[in-house]
Amino acid sequence: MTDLEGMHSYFWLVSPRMKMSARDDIPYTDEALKQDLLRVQNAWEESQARRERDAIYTYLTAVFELVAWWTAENRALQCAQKALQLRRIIPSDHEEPFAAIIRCTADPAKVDKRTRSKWSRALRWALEQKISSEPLVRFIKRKGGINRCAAKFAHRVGRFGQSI
Amino acid sequence: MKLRMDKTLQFWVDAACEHIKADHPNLTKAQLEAHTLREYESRGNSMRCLNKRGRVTWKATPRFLDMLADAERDALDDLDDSS
Repeated sequence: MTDLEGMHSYFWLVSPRMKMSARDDIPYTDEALKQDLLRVQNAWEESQARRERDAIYTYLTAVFELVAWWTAENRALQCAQKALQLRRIIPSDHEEPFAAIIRCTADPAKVDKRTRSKWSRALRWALEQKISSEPLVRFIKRKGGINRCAAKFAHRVGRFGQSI
Repeated sequence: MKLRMDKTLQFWVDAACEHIKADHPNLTKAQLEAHTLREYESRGNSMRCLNKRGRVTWKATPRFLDMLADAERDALDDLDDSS
């Protein structure tokens, strides 16, 4: 049993006298977006610190989970643009959300445009095809790996049909 | 609207609501929960994600879970020291 009174006051979160509004919605603030980006960036650093072959999936999962809920709420493009703005990155033409978040959170010296595009295509394929209950890493491996998933997405949209 | 969240986060949100509700008797449980989650999210303690059914839900962040684990370790160390 956790002794609540004995816990550090940090866990109590807010002062009881803090001004509170009578609303039950939870807007997605810039501060919340910054925290999400920081968390994805931490996943990037963690994936770089590990030597295992699959370490990159820690990072890709963090990117995927963030964009997945944005997409579910129909706000992926808007949030991705805001993320670029918060990081003072000039958006490229037709930059889609996965690529934008990778640009915001991965080391550009290690992830060039081509890799970013490949990861982004693989993640878009997963977003379209994966059921919610299946972990990203299992899905990508089951489908033949990152390169294969990226290729499947490119094949579906048609390499010359639209910008990918 | 009922907010969906994982058990760990629900525990701490309930605790925070219990702590502040006496000072805000006019607010409903949902409003207290929303306020708490707004604060938690802006501090990086809670995050939104999709659950297995593809619905947006809330969970404790890895950072928050680390903090809780640290607090538990400290408490156990204190217990050892005092015995």
